[in-house]
Amino acid sequence: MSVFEYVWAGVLAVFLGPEAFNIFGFGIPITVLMIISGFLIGIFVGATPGLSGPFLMAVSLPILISVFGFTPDALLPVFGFLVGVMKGSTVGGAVPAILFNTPGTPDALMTTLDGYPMTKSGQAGKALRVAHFASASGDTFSDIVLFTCAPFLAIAVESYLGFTEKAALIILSLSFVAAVVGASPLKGLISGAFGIFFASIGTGEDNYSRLSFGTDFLANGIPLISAVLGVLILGEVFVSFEEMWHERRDANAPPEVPQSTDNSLSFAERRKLLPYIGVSAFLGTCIGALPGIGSTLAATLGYATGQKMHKGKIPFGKGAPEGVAATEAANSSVSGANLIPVLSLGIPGNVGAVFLILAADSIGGFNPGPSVFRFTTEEVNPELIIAFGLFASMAFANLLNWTIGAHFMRMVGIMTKVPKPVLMPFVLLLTLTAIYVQETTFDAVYFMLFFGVIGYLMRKLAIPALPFVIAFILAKTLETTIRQAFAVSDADPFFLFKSPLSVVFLALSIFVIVFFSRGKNND
Amino acid sequence: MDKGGGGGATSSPPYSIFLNRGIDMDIFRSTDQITALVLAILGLMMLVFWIPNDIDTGLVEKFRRQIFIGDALIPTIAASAILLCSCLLFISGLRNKTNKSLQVNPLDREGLGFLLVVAAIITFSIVVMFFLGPLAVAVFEDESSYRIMRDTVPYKYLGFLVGGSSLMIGLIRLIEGSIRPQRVALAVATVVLLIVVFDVPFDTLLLPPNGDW
Amino acid sequence: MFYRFIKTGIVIATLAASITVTNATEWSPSGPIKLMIAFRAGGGVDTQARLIAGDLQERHGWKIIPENLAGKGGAIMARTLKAEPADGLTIGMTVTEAITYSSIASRNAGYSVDDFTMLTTTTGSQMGLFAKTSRGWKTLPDLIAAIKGGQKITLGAMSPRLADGAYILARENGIDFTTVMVKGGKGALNGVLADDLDVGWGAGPQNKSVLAGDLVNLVSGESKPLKVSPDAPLLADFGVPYIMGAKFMFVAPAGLPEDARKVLTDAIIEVVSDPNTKVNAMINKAFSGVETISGSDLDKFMATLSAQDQALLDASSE
Repeated sequence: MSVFEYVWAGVLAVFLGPEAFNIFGFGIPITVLMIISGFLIGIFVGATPGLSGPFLMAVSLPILISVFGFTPDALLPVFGFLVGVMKGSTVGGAVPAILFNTPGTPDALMTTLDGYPMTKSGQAGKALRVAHFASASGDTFSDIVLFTCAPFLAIAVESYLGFTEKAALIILSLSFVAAVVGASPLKGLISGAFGIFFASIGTGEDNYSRLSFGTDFLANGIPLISAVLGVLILGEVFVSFEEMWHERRDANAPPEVPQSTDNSLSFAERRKLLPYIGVSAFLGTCIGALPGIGSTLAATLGYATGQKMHKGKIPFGKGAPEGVAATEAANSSVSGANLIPVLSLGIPGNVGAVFLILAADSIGGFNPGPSVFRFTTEEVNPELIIAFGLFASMAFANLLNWTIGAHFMRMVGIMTKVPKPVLMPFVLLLTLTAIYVQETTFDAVYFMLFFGVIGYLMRKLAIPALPFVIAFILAKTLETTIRQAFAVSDADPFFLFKSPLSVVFLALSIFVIVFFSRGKNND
Repeated sequence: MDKGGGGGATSSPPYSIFLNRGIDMDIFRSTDQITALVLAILGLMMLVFWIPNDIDTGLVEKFRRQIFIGDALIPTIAASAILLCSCLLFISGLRNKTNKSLQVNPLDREGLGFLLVVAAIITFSIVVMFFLGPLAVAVFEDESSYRIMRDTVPYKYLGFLVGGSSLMIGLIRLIEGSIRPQRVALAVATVVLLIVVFDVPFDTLLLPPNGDW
Repeated sequence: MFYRFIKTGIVIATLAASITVTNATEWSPSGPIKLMIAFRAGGGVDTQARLIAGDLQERHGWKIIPENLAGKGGAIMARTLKAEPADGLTIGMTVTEAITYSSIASRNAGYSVDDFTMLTTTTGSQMGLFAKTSRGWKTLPDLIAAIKGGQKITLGAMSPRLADGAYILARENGIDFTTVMVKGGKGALNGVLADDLDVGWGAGPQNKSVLAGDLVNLVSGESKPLKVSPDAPLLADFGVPYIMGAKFMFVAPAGLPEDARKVLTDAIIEVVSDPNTKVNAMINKAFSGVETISGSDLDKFMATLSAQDQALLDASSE
């Protein structure tokens, strides 16, 4: 198959795949249906303060897997749903920020700065349109970069990197995540080291399950999903329990402001926003492509850069549409670029990407990483078709964003009324149930609760959770690659330093740690 | 920017980063110091006691005329990193007069008490979830066991419904300080919703505790 | 654990009651059957097990709940299954070497062949040692000659048993391999295709590329020639009297009543052998075709395999 045939096969796999149902003779392909539902549900969840896209991805995973099964046919519908959620929740996140000054996700924090003042001056509709336009544009830009970069990067990795270099590259990614997330690289490193240590329990090559105290409970290892959801979701839930208990106050509904009837966004106005959107989209894409730093930083940088560029009559922070545009374009352009390290290296850099990897891992038949982009001509590489199918799904979700996103954005303001004291216990029960149906044993729930406490302590002590999660996920690959690199080197103790490229990667790992340590101390 | 749990489910109010909660900086510093100390001791214990006694192969292993990496290597590196970084964290805390890294209230006695109550509610609910179904089968069905009845209505839902509801109601009661009838109804409704979403449409999914029997 | 204790108590009590009831008629499961799969979700064996489960459900109205318990070469599933009651409501799908080799290779595996009631095998592997065609080797002697000519060869093996086999093959032919342990059925395949490894053991996933001409099987690890590479010699021709291939099989905990064993075994064989089922087509395409050994034949077969694996272990640990 030629390159073009692969791309086309991927597109066809999405749009001519198995039909979900038939309307007037037109079959609705199941993947398309899943993208649409993921997108719509994502908008609602994104608009709910306290919930976020990755959370929805996490709890829907066991349901998706039981619906679609464990065959490669399941991959595109499941990915489609997750991609839809990713994009929908980004769009939805801006709504409560603009309408009620309550950001649904941390990314939307900067959106409140100009979005809410616009609402107060009767321009809520315009603010939503600006946010949507910027968000959809940033998303498009980011997707295009992903589609073009990921395959080339993957091919380069595949041809130049052996076991040694791959091991060094994983070490570099982990150091990077540890260094940039959170306040102190040392704490990031500690968090990552714990992730690797916990992932070592019950695994290993030897027949005795290491570090298991001889118990069956630990001998089977810690379920990945229990550790990830425990630290990421339950940790947050426990902290929010405590905060609500401390505060025990009802959020007062903000007073309704009479809204202007003319809330359209003219072509000229859109054109004036473009420079801000362009710069922010570029920043967001660059940030998204690096492991570990996510949309919150992108939004902050985008806003700050926009502020420097701005010369209009309404200053930033007082209801400038440019402020909303700069923020939303930046945080929306992260999600596509996030998948660059996932698809080209198999390394998740962000929470959303973690769940795509988990989905691929549970279903099987698709191993994100360089081997996906093997353009074999003699026989068909099914993983490559899936990869292009994934790209097609993202492009389709982007199209949804442009066409129906704006309409739905105006409907989801109501989600801010969901009472948090009910929502958070529900999140706990939902997570417990989702893990149980996937693992079918209470052992997995006990692990989840244990890691929930760990996640809670980490938040209390300002130790970042993301390095833990990413290290936990990558630990197995890291250990296997190191073992292989060592075996191939004929047991050379300096096996990691034998190739120039791996030396460069290792030197960079040390450099990022030192660099960020100094930067953060001087703050 | 702290993106630690950023994408996680439920970020604590994002603006908390920017709020000064009026807590003495010395508390932060000492909390960081204590954390570093505890973690360093933990790392040392792993290195000296746990790893050597609970892993059957060493750092490297020789068999079939070839040297392989043993199971102990990666955990040893991880535990050493924990030890080393914790020591460095402790030392850097001594040098820095101000430490801005902590943004939330550190642990206090009140918080721990609260956590214990949360733990009690969760434990109680799980016990109910686990044993209520089998108990009902033992009482109402003479010649059967839960293992056989775990796919039969109402037993298959009993534990999850009652245990799940008690979890929701207990936590809401704790957080809000009181419980209104609407809240009880809402809690039970959400548990029913979970049953409808996870169990009713699927043949091969098992709700808690049915996979354990 | 406390609840396990109570659980076992309840189960034993009701089991005693239920056996007397079901004795008169043909056995049928009294509740949902848990099917433990000793492989990762999504792989060939997992797909096979789930297809069989689906067909059994359809034909007999049994409810079957598949669950993946992968890891430690099948030992994790074996240990968990062993602890389950032998009432026919828990069965497992695994591979022969997980029962035989893994239980003797480990100092304290926690289970042995005697802990299981064997139901039936379904099919076997198509084990071969493969390399890229572009390397120019046609069969094993070419590879041996290359190593003797001074080339250093890395070999990917996914299980210790295959590493043992490679070790003995090298020893008997006066050569050396650098063995690299890989993960999963496709680990060696990916390593060889990316030029990270020179040769690798493959249980079948390599055969699509062999047919396409990208890869070549240098030697068959089965007792007979491989379907896709009939010209590849057998290991026995090179002084290795052990079979590297394996059979995939269903097992239950030891002490499964004879009538339950018969009903379950017959039901599985019926599904696998029916040429109209998806699983039958899949087995013929991706595995060695239908190979159902059951009953006392299977018990004898497992005993033979155990003896062979013991000999292999002794030979490779000298």
